[in-house]
Amino acid sequence: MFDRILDPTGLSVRPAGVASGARRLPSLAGARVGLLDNTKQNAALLLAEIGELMTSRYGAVVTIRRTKEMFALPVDEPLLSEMKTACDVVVVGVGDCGSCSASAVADGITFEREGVPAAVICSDAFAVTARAMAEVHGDADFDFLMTPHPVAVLNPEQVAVRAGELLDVVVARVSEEGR
Amino acid sequence: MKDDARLEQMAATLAVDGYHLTVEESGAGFDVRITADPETCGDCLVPKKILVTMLQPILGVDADAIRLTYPND
Repeated sequence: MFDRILDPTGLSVRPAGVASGARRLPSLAGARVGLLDNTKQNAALLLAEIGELMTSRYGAVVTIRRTKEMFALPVDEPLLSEMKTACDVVVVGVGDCGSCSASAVADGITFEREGVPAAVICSDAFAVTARAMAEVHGDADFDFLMTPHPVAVLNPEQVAVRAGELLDVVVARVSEEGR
Repeated sequence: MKDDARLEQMAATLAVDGYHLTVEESGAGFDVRITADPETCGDCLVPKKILVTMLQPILGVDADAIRLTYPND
């Protein structure tokens, strides 16, 4: 069970102490959306639902969907490079455990520092670790989005409801729309 | 100074994943132990260096004053 402890920070390869904050898009119309699924149960479905809503209601286009190799690890450089080239905004989720919430926040801060507005979704049970990771990365005020815990046990209909509940805050997080 | 409220929040967060936090004062520092329920997800616990960093402001001490023990230590 404890063969290894993974490092969700990426601090060995990225500088800390630099506040994040990419420029928000004025509108999502025509914006390219990237979805980064961290493999947690229902993450892919939730992100897909949010992507569809961003498309149907705001005119965005989902241009890239990727899945992390492991939820506890930070996004690696090849994936970061691919996604920042292929999308204008990114939605990351779901931080539904201690290490994956920390990793998701680390990913969001990384995307922001690369100039890509990022909406990071965590379940509210892990707000403490998510916030602590933001502090570790020197961006204590990083604005992650929360949804009630748990996400993993939801059925597809419930996931769709969650997506609808999150849509406006996701949009407001990455663009000027809805602010 | 130790922030008991934040420490309780951290303990509650760890408990969601099946981990249990105990903290004992020891001299000028703290002995911190993490135990795990059976079948707990081993990858859901942040690495030691990160948890120590998270605990520093909560316990009000430097990292070298926190002796952290993980389940498989």
